[in-house]
Amino acid sequence: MRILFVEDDVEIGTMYATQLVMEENDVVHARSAQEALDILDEYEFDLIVLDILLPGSNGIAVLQELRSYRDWRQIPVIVLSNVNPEDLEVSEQHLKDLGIREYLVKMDTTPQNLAAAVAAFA
Amino acid sequence: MVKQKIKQVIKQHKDDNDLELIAATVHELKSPLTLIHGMSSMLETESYGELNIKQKEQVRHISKASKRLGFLIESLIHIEKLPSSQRLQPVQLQSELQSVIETHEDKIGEKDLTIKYTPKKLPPVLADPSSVYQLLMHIVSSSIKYAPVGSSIDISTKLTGEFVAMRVKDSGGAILPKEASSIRSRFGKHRQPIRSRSDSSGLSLYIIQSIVEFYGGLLSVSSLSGGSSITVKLPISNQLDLFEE
Repeated sequence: MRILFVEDDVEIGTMYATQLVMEENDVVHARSAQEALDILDEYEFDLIVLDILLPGSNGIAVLQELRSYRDWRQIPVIVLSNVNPEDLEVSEQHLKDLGIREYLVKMDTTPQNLAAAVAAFA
Repeated sequence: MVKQKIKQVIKQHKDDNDLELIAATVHELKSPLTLIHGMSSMLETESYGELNIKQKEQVRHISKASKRLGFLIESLIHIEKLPSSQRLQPVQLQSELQSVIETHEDKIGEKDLTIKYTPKKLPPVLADPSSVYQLLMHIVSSSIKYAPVGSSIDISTKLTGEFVAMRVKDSGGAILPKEASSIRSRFGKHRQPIRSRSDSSGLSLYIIQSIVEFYGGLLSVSSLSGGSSITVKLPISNQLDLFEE
């Protein structure tokens, strides 16, 4: 599976990506919202794993941008963030409308947990 | 009277600038903890190759420690959010307590402890279920942590007036009255005079105190010969109207 992994913390991104690659996924790591959008312009992905707190923007803005383009609209998104969903200033319904298929809290999610969640989309 | 006290406690929490410090600290702790938790999990499952017995044991310790730290962080987040996010409802203390004891079964077995607890039929308390869970986890964990190998922990519950009281008694070192009065000193060594519990940071007791106070309950600790007991009282649920603005 081709995965775009959007995470500004290099060490955390590397940790999760290592496990995903071990399980035979192709992972491209973007470190900011803008970098993610630039990469999406050039390459196709089966899945996006997205952090919420990103430098210069945030994951919700990326999602809104994603959903506004027809080519990107269907890409499933897993949010992986240390921000709890109830702490976001958006409703649960809005998150669903943005196409978030799963919301994982990083602190409780091991790389193996993430790999299992990703495998469900294969 | 009770209503006034509850409002005072809520106001105190709202005004407490330290909550901002807690929020900021907790957020900063999340990233390193994610790494510790995630990497120890990968090592434990031998994602990077086979470990020898000693290495496996050490990694298990790291993993357990990171889970403990994660629980403390969750508790601090809970305390910080108490003024804005509590969902008051009747909660059966006894069933929550039973569940918390069960989650500690491994540790109880490892230390060969005996938990003496007979559930009683009592009215529900008025609180957020997650607060009750946090409260009981800290009380029971602390008692199990400090109880000597092969000893007993006595847990009793009863109805006293408009409160359900729970007392947990162990023989893991005393808590002096002096410490009891300094519970509110958040990161102070509230148990510093007690050698057997000198590694305690005081954070657990602070969390317990904060939750109990928030719901208009009462906390008391007492020193016994070679041990201590902690008693919490939480208001029963027929006082729901007192929380309404």
